[in-house]
Amino acid sequence: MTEPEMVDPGRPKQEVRRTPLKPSASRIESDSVFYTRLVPVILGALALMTIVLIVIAAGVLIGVVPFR
Amino acid sequence: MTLSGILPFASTIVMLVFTISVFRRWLARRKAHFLFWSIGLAMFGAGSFAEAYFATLGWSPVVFFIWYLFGAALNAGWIGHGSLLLFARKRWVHVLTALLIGGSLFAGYLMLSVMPRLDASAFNPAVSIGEQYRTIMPSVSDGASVRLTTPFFNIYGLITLVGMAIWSAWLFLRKQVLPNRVLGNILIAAGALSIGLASTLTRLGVGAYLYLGELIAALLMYAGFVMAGAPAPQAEASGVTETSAAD
Repeated sequence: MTEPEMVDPGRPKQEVRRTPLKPSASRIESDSVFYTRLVPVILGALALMTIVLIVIAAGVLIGVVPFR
Repeated sequence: MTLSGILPFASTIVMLVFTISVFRRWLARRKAHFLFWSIGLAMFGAGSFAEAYFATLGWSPVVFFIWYLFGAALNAGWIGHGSLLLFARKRWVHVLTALLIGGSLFAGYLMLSVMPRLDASAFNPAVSIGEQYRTIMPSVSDGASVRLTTPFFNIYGLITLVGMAIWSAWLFLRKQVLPNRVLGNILIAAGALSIGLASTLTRLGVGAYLYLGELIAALLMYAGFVMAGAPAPQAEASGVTETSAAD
């Protein structure tokens, strides 16, 4: 058990410390053409390629796609 | 040394460095996904080493066992399962872990049972092993049931590894944080797709790009892992760190 802390209503509240952010290292610029336009297209293309490969592999598995 | 020996040898070196790097993270943090990644990457490296061995030193049944079981069948499933463990820590994932381990042991048993029936006389050192293994191994109908297990492991690995990397990159992109992890996960997905594409082409009869695809995969995935795992400011990382493919 610990003693309850006495709160002085007149005392200013402690400010929460925040780590200063480095915009270039941690944030994606909202006006970046690369991240707002190109990266979503790349992700979509990768996802599409994945689906195509899975369909081909499944086709091989069930004998629809010829297997040499 | 010919190109068919140099490419897999280079892949082996990259995968060795990659595996040690991931294994050291497991030693430091003891998180299961690092262990599964390490095992999968070591399998990938063993497969590449086997290809380099065949190209330079010739036939060996033990090396063929290593190549097929670890290099062709299991590695994608183990690497992908590591990615799944990073995302999901529910009970059903433990069931999948048990299935993966049990399935891998069963595939090992099936591979052992087909070993006495390999046709070593069909081996041609001038041709990549990926293009000629069908002439060395009997067909599924002739008892090589291990070949039936390969697509299951590879489809599972493709879905989990590429799927989780794309999903992870998308989450960071949506939150507009940690661009290094967005790009790192894209590289990991692209690397995994590179080997997936090369393997699929090999299965369809075009095996010329298999070793190149492996080297590209090794380089891209390692670069992605290093990039995604680069230190990031803690304040931004707190909300999404657990969804990174290189956490």
